[in-house]
Amino acid sequence: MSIYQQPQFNGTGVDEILVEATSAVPIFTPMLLFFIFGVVFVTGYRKQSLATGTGDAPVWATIAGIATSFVALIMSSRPGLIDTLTLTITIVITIFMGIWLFSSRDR
Amino acid sequence: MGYNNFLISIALITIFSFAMLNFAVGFGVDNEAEINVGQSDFVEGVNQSIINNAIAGFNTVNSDSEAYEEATIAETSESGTLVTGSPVKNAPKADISTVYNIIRKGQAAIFGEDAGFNTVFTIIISLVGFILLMLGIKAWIGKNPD
Repeated sequence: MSIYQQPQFNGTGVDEILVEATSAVPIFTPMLLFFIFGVVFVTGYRKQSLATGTGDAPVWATIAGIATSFVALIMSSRPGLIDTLTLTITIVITIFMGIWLFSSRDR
Repeated sequence: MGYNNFLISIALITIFSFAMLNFAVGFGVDNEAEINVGQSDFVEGVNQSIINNAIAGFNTVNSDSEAYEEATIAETSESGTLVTGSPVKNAPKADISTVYNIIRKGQAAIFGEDAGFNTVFTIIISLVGFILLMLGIKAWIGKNPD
């Protein structure tokens, strides 16, 4: 008997791995989306800070929000990956980032 | 932040929110997704509220414009300001009508008579109209709208 039982996903596609992970750990999708948001926001802001001296946080927050929303929308086409509440929260957070961007004093 | 900057910020926030919501709903419908934010009553309500606000804003600009056209300054004014201000009032009105027609033709050619885009178009025209109104008041009376 082997120590590790490798999952069998014959003919189900790679997305089945994500669905299995989500069904086992429901917070997987929100954490994945948060990770994508964080990576885009932190790397973009940090890179701009190094290049120009100052980083534009509202711009990178909005870009990160839009990127996360796109990923969430793509995930919504596969049943079992994301629920309506998570998708709605992602869209709402993106809109809030847009409000932050357009109402910031620097613009 | 000046008054015109504030108005532009509000308009951009409205357009951005409307665009995000419509894109999310449209994406779900086009791909026949089981999970669609359009299923949420809250999202549908917000979407309709934005459309209603855009129409209300357009009507407000229209009534403000009429009030501006009818406004006069008392003849006792010694500032040298024109009593009726018609030279300042008529030119911007003709300009915005021309711009309106050009954008309208462009919209019909590129996007068709799409209801979602009409809302965005209404918000932009309301904003341009209101800013021109403010600039007209500045040119006529000399008060700075900012």
